[in-house]
Amino acid sequence: MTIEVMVEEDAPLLPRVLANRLRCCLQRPGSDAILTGLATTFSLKSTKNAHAVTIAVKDRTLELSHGVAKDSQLIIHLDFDNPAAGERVEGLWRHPLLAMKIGKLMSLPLPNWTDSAKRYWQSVCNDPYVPESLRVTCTDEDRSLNLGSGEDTIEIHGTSAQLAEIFSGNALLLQEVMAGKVRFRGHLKYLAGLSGSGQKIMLGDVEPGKAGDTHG
Amino acid sequence: MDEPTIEDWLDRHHVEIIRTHATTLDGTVVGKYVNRPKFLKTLPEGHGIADMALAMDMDGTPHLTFWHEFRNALIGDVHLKPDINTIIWDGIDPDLGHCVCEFVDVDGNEISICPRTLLRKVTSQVNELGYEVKAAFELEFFLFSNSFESARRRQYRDLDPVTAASSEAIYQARNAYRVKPFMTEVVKRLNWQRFDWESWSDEGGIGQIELNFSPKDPVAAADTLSRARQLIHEVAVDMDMAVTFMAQHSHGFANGLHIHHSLVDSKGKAIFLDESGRTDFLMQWVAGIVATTPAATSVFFPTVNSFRRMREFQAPPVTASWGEENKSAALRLITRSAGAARIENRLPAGDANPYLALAFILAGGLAGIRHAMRPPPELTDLGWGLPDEVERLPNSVMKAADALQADSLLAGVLGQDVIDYWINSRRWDWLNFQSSGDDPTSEATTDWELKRYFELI
Repeated sequence: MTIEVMVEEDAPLLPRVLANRLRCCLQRPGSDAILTGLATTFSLKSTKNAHAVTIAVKDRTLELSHGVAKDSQLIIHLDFDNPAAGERVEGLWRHPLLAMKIGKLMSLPLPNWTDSAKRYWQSVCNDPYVPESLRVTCTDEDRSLNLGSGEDTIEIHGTSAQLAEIFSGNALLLQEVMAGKVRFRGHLKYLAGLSGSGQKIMLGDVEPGKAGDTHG
Repeated sequence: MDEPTIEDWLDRHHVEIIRTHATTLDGTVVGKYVNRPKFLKTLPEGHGIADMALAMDMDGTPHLTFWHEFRNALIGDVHLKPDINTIIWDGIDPDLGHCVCEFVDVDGNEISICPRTLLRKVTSQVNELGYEVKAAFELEFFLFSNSFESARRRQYRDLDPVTAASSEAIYQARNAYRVKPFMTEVVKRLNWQRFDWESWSDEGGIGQIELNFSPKDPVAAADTLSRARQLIHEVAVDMDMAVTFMAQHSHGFANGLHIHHSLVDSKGKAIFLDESGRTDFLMQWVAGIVATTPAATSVFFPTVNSFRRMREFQAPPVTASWGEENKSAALRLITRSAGAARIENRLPAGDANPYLALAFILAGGLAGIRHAMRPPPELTDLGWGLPDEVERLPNSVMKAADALQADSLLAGVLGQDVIDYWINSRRWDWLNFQSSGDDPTSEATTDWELKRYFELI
């Protein structure tokens, strides 16, 4: 059965980004079992600023909207930039089992970097300012993946975790390059083209693995 | 320029330094102070400037998630090509002149996304029909008695307006008198620089002023508007005051940029009206502009801040509509006399780029003529408070970008590359706002907006 992840109209960034992450994570085989019998509304609220998102789960459908809904059974307070820093959960003692399930849902791993890269390439290879081929080198696994064909190419080097984030649209290539987290060799326009295509995936304009529009 | 050669003009005005002036997509002004030998030596292509000048956002961050062919892979240069017919004497600084430029590549080729180039080319398309366009802007801005430094320290909040702080009444003689020392200096410099202004008055917002310009060729009209914004900013700096053109710096009335235009034939005769009333040309022209208005909203309301102005009963229209003498319609037809018959577009926000806004309006008109379009029924009612089923214009950066992406009429006139680059630049601006940490759903202007737009836009 398919899982639908939907976002409210004209949503802010947070619901869009989170929806994309959930779509990616739920693509992993078996990951959707967590949704069986799950029907709830819960919210995530930033401890650093006013950003918040509500996720309503019902019948294997997830609907994301901004803010904290009044009917949220749990409100998880966290730093979105550093989720590992710890979190406070409102409603934990009333709904301990639900809290565990939601914890599992929100910590589902992304698909591995090779699957992510293949899906990403399938989505973006016809976009403007995307090279004919892409050579990805995973620095912690010491192996490479070639996507597409042609001399017009670029290289991306990074760890498996960073590559999975980038190719699933959860991190922007350009930001990771500028932060020194991944390395890049090639034409600047391809950095821009690939980053723009990744941004479309991040915002939900294109689903990974499906061909996007051709606007530049 | 009123001399046979640029050298003659520089000699007569004793100008030794020329400030070059080009307008970016965001409407900001970039350029250099260039000495006379360098200025003359680099004509006609002009001096070099980093290509990022046309490919960076308001904060100076390069556009890195989209691309255009004018950009250099290794981060290179473009040139600012002077239009020497625009050279003017500063008036305050005796050695200084100003010259409006267009972005060209290092080989001197036009760059399609240069706002001035785009407007010039669209105007040429109207000229090819045998008509000339006359356009005029109504410039609105807020003036404060605080200096920019003081405003910055206060994070642009709780500033002291020059007019009465408790009333949003308009055309008040007492408010205007309080503004007069500032506007006297503005008008003096406008006159020195030979900009044709017509009138100024206090406006509805607290501390708000409106300055109206005479109709002229679209490029000249946009040049005047862009130069005037810079000139007003300079007067504020010189007088230890602060001024902003951002759309919504606070609650209450916002800054708009109403744009008037009319068309005349080769004999100077207005073509919007004839003996029998509205011409078919006018109706097709209006139809094209109305049909493209949802898409053009992206340019009329370029920023997150612009859309704070789009509230019913707050002056900006909210529907793609037209109406005779109807200020609640997007297009207000003013046809009291054939000679003065014109269209006022009441949508653009104060932070709109004058070149782009006018280019998109003319492109809409051209699309209407090319496709022999018929307009929707005239709006004869008030355009605010209408039932929910009446379609409203896009009311956010992303909705407007989507509307522009779905439109093909404007791209048919302006070029798909221009449309694509603009859409991407708006999504980039939105992404920056969303990532700022300020509440993205706030109904009030955020700190991020004030910091980004108050001084520069």
